[in-house]
Amino acid sequence: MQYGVTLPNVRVDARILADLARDAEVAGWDGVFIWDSLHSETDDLKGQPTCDPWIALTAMAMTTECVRIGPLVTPPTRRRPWKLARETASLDQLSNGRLILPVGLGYVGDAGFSKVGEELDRKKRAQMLDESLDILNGLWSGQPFSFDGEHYHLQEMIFVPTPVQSPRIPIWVIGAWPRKKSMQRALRYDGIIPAKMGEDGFSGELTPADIQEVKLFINEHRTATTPFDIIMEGETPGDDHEKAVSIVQPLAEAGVTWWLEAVWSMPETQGGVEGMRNRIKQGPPPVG
Amino acid sequence: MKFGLDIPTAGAYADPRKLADLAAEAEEAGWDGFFIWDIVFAAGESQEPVANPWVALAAIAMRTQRIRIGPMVTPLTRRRPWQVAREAVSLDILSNGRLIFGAGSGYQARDFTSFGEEYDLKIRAEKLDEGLEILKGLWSGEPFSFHGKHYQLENVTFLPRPLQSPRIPIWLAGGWPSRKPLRRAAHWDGIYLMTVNQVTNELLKLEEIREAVAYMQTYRESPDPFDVGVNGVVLDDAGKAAEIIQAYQEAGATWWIDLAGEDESFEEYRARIRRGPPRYE
Repeated sequence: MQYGVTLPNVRVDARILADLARDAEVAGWDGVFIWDSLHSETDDLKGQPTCDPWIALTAMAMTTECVRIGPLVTPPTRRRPWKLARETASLDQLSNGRLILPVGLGYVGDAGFSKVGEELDRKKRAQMLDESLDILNGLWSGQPFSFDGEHYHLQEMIFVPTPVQSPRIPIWVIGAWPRKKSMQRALRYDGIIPAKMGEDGFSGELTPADIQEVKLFINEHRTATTPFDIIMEGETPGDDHEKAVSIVQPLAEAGVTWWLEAVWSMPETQGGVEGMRNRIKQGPPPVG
Repeated sequence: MKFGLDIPTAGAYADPRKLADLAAEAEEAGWDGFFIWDIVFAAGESQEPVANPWVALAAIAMRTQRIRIGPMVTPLTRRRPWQVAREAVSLDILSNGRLIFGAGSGYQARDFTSFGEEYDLKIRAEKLDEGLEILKGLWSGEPFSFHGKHYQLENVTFLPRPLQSPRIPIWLAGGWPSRKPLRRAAHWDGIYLMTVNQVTNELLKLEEIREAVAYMQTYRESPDPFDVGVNGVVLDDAGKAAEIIQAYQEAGATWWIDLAGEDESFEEYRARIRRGPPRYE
């Protein structure tokens, strides 16, 4: 099991995130991930200062040496995929191969979709995500690549340098369990961040039993033989090891390979940046 | 006169850490500005590697304390302006207010047409004007709406504001004797004059710089300072340097921006950067 922290890109700036990433590395975490939002419109975040995740990830790459870094999650659907290809390759190079790219359809409550005329239709965003991932893979290959999709058209081109990591920068995909199409998308890549869906959207936390089913689905349907991660995000108390272990251990046994500690403290609730720093310094749950 | 560098992001330069190290050396040597290209592909049909300028600039901001930094220039027309607005503010804060935002309408067809992006000059000019208004509006920190021909924004408030006030300086690229880009630049905070006359293809003469500056002055609406960046010849003779720089200064230039020579290797240019800007007092 590997352990990461996820931090907001709201109410912090790039330098604070770079310092927190350094603290996380010292405290023994394996990864530091930050939100990729442009401008959240939810009640608790509306009007709050927001930091560009790519500038922040670069600053984090400069203050750390071994933690994995990445945006959690990037919506390629409001970006130009070739631009994302250049950014990720440069960042992978700068971090000496430590970048992970988690992706999703995008949250349309972000002003980056809703207030600037981006695509809001779910089906279309799903198509755009599929095409974006094909384009990222093609451009990262360093080989001549062209693409003629529904949404994107690229004449033959070669993008170099390639990322440091081979065969590619690991891509984690949000998978709506148990929706087959969404799950199949994730299986084509390198990891899944499962989200439990009912008839009307999200239906609560995944239990260890759910994870076992997800794992079974992966074993049955994934054809690639490369490593594949199952990622879960949640909270554990940093000052109660027994409790932390009781949360994480059953998930690890069920097949989770990355536990992401949601360190999203907001000033009015848990002490803001200092609250986040404290939780980070307490380190990951002591499960092997 | 301030002294800046116009640094490639392709070929031997296509490595953000190398660029950050070079910027730290430039700062140490006394240069005032370290500006980098914003391109998708290297010039012509070249298949050279290219670095992403925003990742590189953030790395540069982390390695330097004093030197001004920025893209020279970002083709705003192939980006989403709100995305650029966010990146620029984060970078301005990370660099403690050292960003100069160089903008242009785009200058390499391949960076546009290979992706099916619009490359019609007139439309790019429109998109550039709209994009700059959006940057200004989003950097204000006030509720902002925009209803243009190419972009529509509905009541967006972007925070934080940049560290610099009233805004991150915006310089436009412009080539003499084209008048329209000069009028556009006059509306903002500075111009980066192209090295050569766009008609004769010869190095811009002092007289032409003087004429361009005078032309822009007639269109200035703001009493705030206006920067004029120019490229000149390599100043390897200290005695002559004072004379040449003074002449450029009198013509209206405020930034002397050095370019790598066409046949100068990365290591040769690096050595020249480490020798510092021309000493001329």
